[in-house]
Amino acid sequence: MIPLAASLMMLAAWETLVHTGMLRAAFFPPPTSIARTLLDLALSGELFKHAGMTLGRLVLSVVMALIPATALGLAMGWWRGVRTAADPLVNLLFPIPSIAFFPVVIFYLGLSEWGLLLTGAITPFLLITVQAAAAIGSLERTLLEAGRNYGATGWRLFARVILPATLPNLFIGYRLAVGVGFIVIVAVEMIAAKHGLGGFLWHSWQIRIEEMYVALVLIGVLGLLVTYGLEGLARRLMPWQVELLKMKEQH
Amino acid sequence: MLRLRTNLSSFASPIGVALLWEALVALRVLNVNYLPPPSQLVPHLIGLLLGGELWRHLTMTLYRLCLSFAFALIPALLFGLILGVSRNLRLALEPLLTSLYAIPKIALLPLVMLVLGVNERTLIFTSTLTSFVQMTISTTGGVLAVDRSLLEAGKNYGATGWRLFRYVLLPSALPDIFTGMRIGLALTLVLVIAVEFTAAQEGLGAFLWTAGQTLSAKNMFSAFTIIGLLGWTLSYGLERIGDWLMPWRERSSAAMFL
Repeated sequence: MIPLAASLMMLAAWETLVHTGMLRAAFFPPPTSIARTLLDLALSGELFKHAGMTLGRLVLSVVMALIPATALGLAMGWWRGVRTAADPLVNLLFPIPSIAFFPVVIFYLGLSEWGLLLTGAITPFLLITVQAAAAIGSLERTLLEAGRNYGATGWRLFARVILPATLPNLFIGYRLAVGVGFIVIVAVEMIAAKHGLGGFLWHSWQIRIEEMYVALVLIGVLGLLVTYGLEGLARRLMPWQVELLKMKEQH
Repeated sequence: MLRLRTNLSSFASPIGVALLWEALVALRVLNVNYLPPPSQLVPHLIGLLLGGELWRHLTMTLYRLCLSFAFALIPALLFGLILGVSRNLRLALEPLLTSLYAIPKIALLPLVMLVLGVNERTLIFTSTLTSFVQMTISTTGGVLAVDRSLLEAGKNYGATGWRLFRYVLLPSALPDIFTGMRIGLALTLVLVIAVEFTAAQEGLGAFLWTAGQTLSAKNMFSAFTIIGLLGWTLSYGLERIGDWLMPWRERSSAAMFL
């Protein structure tokens, strides 16, 4: 109750302050006028075009990262040799600020869609790799032994024992990766794209201020979705691990 | 002895990559203008550092990073502690803070530019906001995660007010607060560099961007290396400091790499 009431009060205060002239409408247009613009843009379909573009880029770059990173991370966790070879390289690249890869990527690929996607995929790739390697590391030995005693080997051991046991940890990595990927995609769109929410935001602030706020609202909604929406999905997909997930969330 | 061996083996694959790179350029599989090998990059980087130009950009970026972090630190800690203690205030501000947390802070840059104009203050303000939001949320989370039984035990031993805060609450919330600072700094570095790409003449981001656009591969790799070292120092260096300051804390691998 309190969160809703407080938010409504803040919006009402904003609206009145603009109408009494204490806030400049040129900088802070009243919420009602932002809502009207939002509705217009939604009806004309432009809004969904940009939001869909950003979402599509995010999904593509995370998917590009997800499969090879999971495979590499699991292999690093399982085989010592792979870990010895790959760990130093991953640790070397991981702390580099994600956005710094952008000029280097477009140096080779040009300012193309692939450049944006690849930049968006790099940090998710490193994050998922690290998390997947750690997931194997924290695998319970007893589970493995039990699986082997019941005769599971090779693919069956992997699909029936290792994967279900590591999935919650993998999922934490995926969730973080989507969050980081979103930041990078929006930043890159602002710097170098015409379409997508970031591009829309960057091109609208000098022209129509309401449109900039609409872009911000949508970026916020998408941000909330990628930050909190995936948690709900995890609960759905892995009911056997809900308690474990809850424990991890707290840390 | 074992330690030495693991240290040596952790150098093996980067050195292997460097040698492979060198060999491929020598065999003309890779174009030297696009991928100058380490044997050319290292002297170039040293030359840039000695010439002083790279230092100027590094100092500028560091200055921006430190200033915005310093501006955000005390208000974020106080605000986070208050939110952690006061349930009503927390509930009232939760929607606002959650939204701010979920929006990539670079998206707020146009709004700040509109209000403050296109200048240094805009960059500093947006960076400060990034640090502030992250540290406030981590501090609140840290206070909320304090074990109730610890608080009870403290109270039973007669700790109240300041003493309860100083000897019970703070030590158990400190690891989360510290993690918040580290993540805050990392996110701020991303923001500063992104803004420098387009809206600044000086700073490592500006240098990197110009080098990429003018097709100067050597300058580009030099700037990239320095930015990487900066990120590296911030993550690993701060983790070390954290271990030293708070030997009681437990650390999960996921939090280490956020």
